[in-house]
Amino acid sequence: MAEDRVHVTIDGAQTEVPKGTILWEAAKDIGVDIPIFCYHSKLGPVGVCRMCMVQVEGMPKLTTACTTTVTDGMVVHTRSPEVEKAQRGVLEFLLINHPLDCPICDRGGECPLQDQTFQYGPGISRFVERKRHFVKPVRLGPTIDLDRERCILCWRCVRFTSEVAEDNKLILVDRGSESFIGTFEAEPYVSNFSGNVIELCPVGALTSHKQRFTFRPWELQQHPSICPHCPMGCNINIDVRDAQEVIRFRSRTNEAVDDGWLCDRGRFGYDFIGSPDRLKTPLIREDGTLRPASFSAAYRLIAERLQRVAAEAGPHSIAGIASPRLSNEDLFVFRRFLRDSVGSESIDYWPRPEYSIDSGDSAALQTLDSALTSIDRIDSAALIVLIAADPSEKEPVMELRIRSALNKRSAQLVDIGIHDVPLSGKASAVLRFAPDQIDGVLRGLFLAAAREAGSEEFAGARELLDGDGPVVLLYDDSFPDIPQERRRDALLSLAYMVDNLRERRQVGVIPLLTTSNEMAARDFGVMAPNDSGSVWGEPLVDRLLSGDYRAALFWGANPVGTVAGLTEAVEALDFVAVSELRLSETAGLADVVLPASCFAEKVGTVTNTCRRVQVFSEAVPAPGMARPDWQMLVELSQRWDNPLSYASPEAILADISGSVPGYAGRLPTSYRRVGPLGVAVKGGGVEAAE
Amino acid sequence: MAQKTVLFKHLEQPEIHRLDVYRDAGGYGALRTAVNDLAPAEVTQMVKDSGLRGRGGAGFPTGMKWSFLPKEYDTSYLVCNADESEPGAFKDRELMERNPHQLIEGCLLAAYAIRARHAFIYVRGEYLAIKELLDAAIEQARQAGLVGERIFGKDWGCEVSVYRGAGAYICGEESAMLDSLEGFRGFPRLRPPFPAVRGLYGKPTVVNNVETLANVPHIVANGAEWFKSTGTEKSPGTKICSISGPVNRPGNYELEMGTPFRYLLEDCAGGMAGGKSLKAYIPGGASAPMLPGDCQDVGIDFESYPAAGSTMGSASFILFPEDCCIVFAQLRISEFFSHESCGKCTPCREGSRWLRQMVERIEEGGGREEDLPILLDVTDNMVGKCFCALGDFATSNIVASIRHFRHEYEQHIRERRCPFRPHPAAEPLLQIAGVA
Amino acid sequence: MAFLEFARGLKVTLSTMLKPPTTIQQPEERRVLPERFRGKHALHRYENNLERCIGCFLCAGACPAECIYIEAAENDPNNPVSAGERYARIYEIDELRCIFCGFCEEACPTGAITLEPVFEMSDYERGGMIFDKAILLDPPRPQAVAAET
Repeated sequence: MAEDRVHVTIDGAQTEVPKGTILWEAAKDIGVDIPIFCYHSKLGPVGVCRMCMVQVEGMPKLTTACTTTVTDGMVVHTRSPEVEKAQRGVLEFLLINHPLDCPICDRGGECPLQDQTFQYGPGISRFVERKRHFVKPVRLGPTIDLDRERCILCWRCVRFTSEVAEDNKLILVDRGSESFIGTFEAEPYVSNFSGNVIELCPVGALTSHKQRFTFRPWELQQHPSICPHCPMGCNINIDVRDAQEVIRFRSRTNEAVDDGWLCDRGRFGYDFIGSPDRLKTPLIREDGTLRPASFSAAYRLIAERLQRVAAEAGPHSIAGIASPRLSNEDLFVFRRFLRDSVGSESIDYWPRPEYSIDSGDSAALQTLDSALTSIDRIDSAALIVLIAADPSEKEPVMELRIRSALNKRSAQLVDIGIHDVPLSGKASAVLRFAPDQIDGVLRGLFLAAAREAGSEEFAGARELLDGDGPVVLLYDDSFPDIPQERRRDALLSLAYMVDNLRERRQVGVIPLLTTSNEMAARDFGVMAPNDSGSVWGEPLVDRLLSGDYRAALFWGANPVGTVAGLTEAVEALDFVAVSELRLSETAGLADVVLPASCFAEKVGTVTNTCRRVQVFSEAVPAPGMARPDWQMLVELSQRWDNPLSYASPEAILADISGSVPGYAGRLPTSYRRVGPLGVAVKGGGVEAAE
Repeated sequence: MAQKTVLFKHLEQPEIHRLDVYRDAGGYGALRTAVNDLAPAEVTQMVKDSGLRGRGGAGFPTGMKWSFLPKEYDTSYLVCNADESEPGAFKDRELMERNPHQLIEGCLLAAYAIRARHAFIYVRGEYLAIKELLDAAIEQARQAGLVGERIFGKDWGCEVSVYRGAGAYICGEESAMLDSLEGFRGFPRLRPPFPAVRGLYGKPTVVNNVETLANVPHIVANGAEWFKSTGTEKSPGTKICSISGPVNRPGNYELEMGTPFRYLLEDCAGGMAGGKSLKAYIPGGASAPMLPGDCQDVGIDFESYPAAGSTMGSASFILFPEDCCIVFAQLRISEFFSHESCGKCTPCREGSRWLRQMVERIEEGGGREEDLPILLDVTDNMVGKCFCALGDFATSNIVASIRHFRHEYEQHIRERRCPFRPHPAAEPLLQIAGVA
Repeated sequence: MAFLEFARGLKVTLSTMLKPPTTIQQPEERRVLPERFRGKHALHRYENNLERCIGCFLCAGACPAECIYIEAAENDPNNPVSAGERYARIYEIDELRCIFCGFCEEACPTGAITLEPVFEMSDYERGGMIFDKAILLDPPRPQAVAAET
């Protein structure tokens, strides 16, 4: 036995745990259930609810399992008569002023207070006095309703805002039995992470305003999935009623990705799934208006028109632009359809970084790619560097992971950017510069000449960069605050920075991409090199503007809504086909529109910003005749000489696993083997960091 | 065993609050001796040898507390607990009002012993006048070079700051006091780590009561043996006792430890007023269990009262005369603890409120036969299961009053009214408890 | 032999001929139903005319035939429909699916739903057999309304 491990006996069962383990965690590991309210593994001990009382031999009084660290030879009893009396007592205390309105409480049915009362509590109440009353419900903010009578003052929400989100929004007001949860001066509780307190609350005190009174937990079926709103790929459960209606998203803990948290954008962003304006049938333009049609008519028209264009102007005059929120399977088939069936190399995705990288600069991309690390590496970093990046805006849960690393692991943060971001307050060094100076600043941190002449502002950042221990760099390669003509330079200087740092320290980079599956779009060559030999060609959308193409396929992408002047360019094309969830601006200009199913309506995988491939599953049926994009593409390809022959998404997964560089050999060929937590692929950066 | 004047020098020299008078009487001599001739560890050893025990209530050996600090540290703090919020206690007030320099010298000596360079005196919020008085005294001492940098020209210096609380009983609990001192809301902290390891601002901290620190200059000046020569073997020294209730001369009296309560009541306080007999008394402030009035031969020290079924606590005696309703008195005590519960842990927050409601109902005539077992069972669900000792305090007098005066509760329940109404005799208690 | 058979049969006829008939002339005549007869559902109100039903879904959860459909909503505190925060905005029972087991009545925490001794339910269309609140809910008590106004 190593010195850092201790033996403990819990209810007669022996176990060996690392020194410093909290007794409750040790008991949980061997399947002994100690009831808790205030303790939460992610929040740490506070010991206020007194529910987890246990008897430790040699201690005169009962002790709380959530605040006791195990010592060697400790003998613990969790079901002794004294313990049971204490548990009954605490539950009685918690319930005397509880309104017991379980029938109308949104938590009723999945409520720890309910469950633990059934399991450990007294059957009756001896309380005949007046209950404590509060005005209720209180609208805490846009997302949360608070019922102060149900609250058992476990402080989980307060600790979440003070320790995890660090916005200190929720506080305890007043004293003693009159104390209640509130916000300072009753300001609204507005936060990126407010929804987490709903899940943390062990009673029905904090409930979702959006879902108030709309469901009961026992009606819901859970479907493991992946949040589609950013490339972080937080794991979620989609809760569905009657196999029809998406009721809510809940977090599903994946230590390697989300650490158990979810941002409000993800948690409450599900309205689009069951939206009434979803497309239900294919649409074909007849006499200037889009009218419902059959799939075979739509496919026939697309094939005829594209083949005519190909015959007249060559297949490369057909442009294919996909959305990076499509699944891996969709993107892979999209590329194969255009390349193998249509014969066009004009493929791109949108939205994407609006600059190109020449083949001469490809070393820079390779540098950044090889340093790509996994999200949980943030935890072991000694230094975290933000480079013109705002995780709070792009990938909010990343902010929580960074905060956790800074608070719990004594990492340090350097913020190099144009303006303050929410994390700037945590930075040990801040370096600000004018938008067009990024290149000089990033190189200046390392160039000897610049170092000597460097100003005072550089000193703090430079000192930290010169230190020891692993570094994680987070950057946003769309560089939204940098002038467009400087973005390529910014990326190159970033690679220069990585190269320089690597000489002395372990370096990992995490790109903050924009759209959920952008990494796969790049990996699968949906951002293909174009004829000028670039690695990242000029955005295809820009070339559409200059009239290089005769026909276009927009697969989920909607550039018309965002790019100026594109409406006229698209209208000028001979033929436009669009696959979409609803009638977007781009779809409004199309000749044929196909109804696609969204991520909650199909099986598939996505690759997150750190190249972790994760599986989502079918939670609800697609509306009307809507189909997965891969299926429509496979069906469409049957009208070409080189049809695709995938029968299921798993067959595509197997093909990806066999053919995409980096994925090959790492990605299992079945969804079951990818597993609920996903697998990391092409982990060049991960290995390099080791 | 009788009255003895050590800490209450102001009884002999009313002007001792002035720095010159205090110094003429030998004041700051102990500090000079310590700083010039003694190593910090020697001061600690001296206090340890003297057997001085904490006067705040728990009676923990003071020298031992000082020696719990880690071997190596760069910063440490001394905090003087002057948050005298216990109903019935007013001894620290007199010590600070009448002889502030004695406390300041005690603080400096303790700070020297633990190598602290900053001492804080945390006075309760209501002691505004005392804060101003202490501030003035500290300023005088600073002018005289006794507070601040390079005291007596040596390498060691210490700042003394007075901080006023905001009126919470819980802030008398040492870790809650540290929270409050740091500017947070006062909540007791999780232990371990104890304040001696991680206290104020995360640094090793010693928290001592006013009376404890006031004893230190005398010990350093006169030696441990001198201190041990008074009092009992396990509780050496003198104790300032606050006595309140219907007695002829209520107030503070300094007695040798071990003096029987009867001496305090009859010889010092002049016996019960109006010739009434003593029905019950609380020996150590509202948190100490009450004793029947015939328990008068108990010695005032840390051992005798626990043996008699109570605790000496801060030696704050609250007396109930024969015509006082025990249930009503208990209601006032329960109201105090319900009001002062910080709300951090479930049993204290909910239990103290429930106890108050039940006692109130019994007092109002709505009691039921089954209420007494429920009262006792609720206290049993609280004792030892709360986050800090305050939860236990809230139950101690419920248990004691039912044990000694069960018949009064039963009479309330049987007659469905309070047999003592109206309550003239409880008025002084109301004023003391501040809940009238 | 044949006569013996005939006589035996006639004996039954003759012995019952003078007894009163067991059939009743429904609907002119009404049969007395057992006290705990489980027929058509009814939703009840409190004395002050607030609906007892709080839309808690417990009846729907208990229903083995899954014939109860509810949508809950939040009460307007100034003009509440039910006692408490929540009420059933939509409450429908498909009486064709219902097996009249009475579990809904047992599950109800407020005594809002009961099965009444009413069995005459018919319609020309299936849709008509989905009873909503207009059919199920007791009419408001006139005196309570008068007391309010």
